[in-house]
Amino acid sequence: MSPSTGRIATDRIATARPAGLQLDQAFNVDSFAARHGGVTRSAFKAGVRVYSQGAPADAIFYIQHGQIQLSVLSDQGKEAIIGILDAGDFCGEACLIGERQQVSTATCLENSSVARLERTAVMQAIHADSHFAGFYLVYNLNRGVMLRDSLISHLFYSSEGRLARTLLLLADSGGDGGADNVIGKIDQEALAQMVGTTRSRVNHFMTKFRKLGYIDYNGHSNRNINVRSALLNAALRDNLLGGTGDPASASHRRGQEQA
Amino acid sequence: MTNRAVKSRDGPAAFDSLVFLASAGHGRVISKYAPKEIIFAQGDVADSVIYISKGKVKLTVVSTEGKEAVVAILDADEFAGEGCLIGQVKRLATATALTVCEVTRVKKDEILSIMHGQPKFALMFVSHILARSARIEENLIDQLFNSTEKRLARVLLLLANFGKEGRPQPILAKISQETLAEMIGTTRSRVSLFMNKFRKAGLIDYNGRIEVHSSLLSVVLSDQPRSVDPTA
Repeated sequence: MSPSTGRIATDRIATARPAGLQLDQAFNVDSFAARHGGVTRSAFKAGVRVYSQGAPADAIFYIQHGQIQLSVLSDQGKEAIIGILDAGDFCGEACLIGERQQVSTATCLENSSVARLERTAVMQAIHADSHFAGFYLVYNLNRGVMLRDSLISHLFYSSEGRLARTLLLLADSGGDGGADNVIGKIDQEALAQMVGTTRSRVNHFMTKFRKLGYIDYNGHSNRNINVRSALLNAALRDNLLGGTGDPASASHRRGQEQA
Repeated sequence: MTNRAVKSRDGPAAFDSLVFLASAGHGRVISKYAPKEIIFAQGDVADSVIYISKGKVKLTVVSTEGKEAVVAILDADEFAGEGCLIGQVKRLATATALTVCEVTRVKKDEILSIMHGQPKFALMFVSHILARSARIEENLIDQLFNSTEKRLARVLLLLANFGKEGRPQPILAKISQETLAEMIGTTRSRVSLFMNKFRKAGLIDYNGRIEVHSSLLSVVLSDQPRSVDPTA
């Protein structure tokens, strides 16, 4: 996924992206459609929902182009962002394990092209096409690793460390591994919903990160964030974030309520 | 315990994934473990997938600072160690038996070849992996939304099988407060505090083993993350 899983077992870092069974052949929508049918392609504008939490779930979705945010709403109206997906990612797979309703909401962050794959076609493809089955298994094993890393980051890290990890994940989503990576179009409210804290805490830590040179904003108008990945990653690894003077540090946090 | 896989998309007349998984054979070895025995340890060579045919298994991860987190409690008819299929050469977690366990170690190459040759196995295996991811996602959502107290209530209900088919049961395995703390990301003393609170409210009983009453649901129900059953 990224170099940002921090200090959780060093070998996790190297293996988060697929290595063994390879995902090297990208998923080909056309050949899937030709072999198994059940494919509908659609274009969505930024801000439009592909599906909503609670809507009938009878297909999975493959992002051909663009970026999609997955969010979950609690009964009390709290929103949490559980993933930002890029081209090449799938979502909506809960229908394959018997969910009748979507368990999250998928919203396009950019103009996106999305292929809808009917549940029955996907089930048939897993059954009849061992190449697809292997590909889809690997995709989901990797997704499981990412989810588990996110969960572990909650169990180990303070909200500050989780914010650092989230920034690194977002900065790395281009995958070019450069020293500086730019994150566009993400507000502090969304960051708070991804980290599981409040907007004011995010603001506090972002200011701190900027003073320490881990990030900077290029220009006030577009609010793009430059992430100095190497520095931020090192700070996370060396446990510098939320040092002993900070009540939200990892060593203090485990006794606290979740923000 | 194995009825869940039969019920999964596979159908009862499968190439018998269950017989395959619960028996020894080419590339498959069966082992038994007593409670607290380690099935594999973080850092061990990862060359096989583990299928749990009997018992409960705890998966833990230790940070380089020595902090431990419980990432899953696995039941019979679940897999562990599947990371080797995506190129992980070492185990990223430690699997410890919580009860008497029987597990089948299936060599990576063997599972890949069965995946290839047995469509029903492939479907069953993908379903298991998806179900696992869904559970991790639920735990993550729980972390994002809920207080420590609610997270503890939810974990106790899950451990007691509420929301699954079959009758709820008192927690069979002895789960220490330390383990509960590592599952929800808090301290043992916080767990102790809330356990006492739950007990005084009549939501649980414990003397050695923990008995969970369905009334504990009231603690979680006040803020469900989903329109679907939160304990499913």
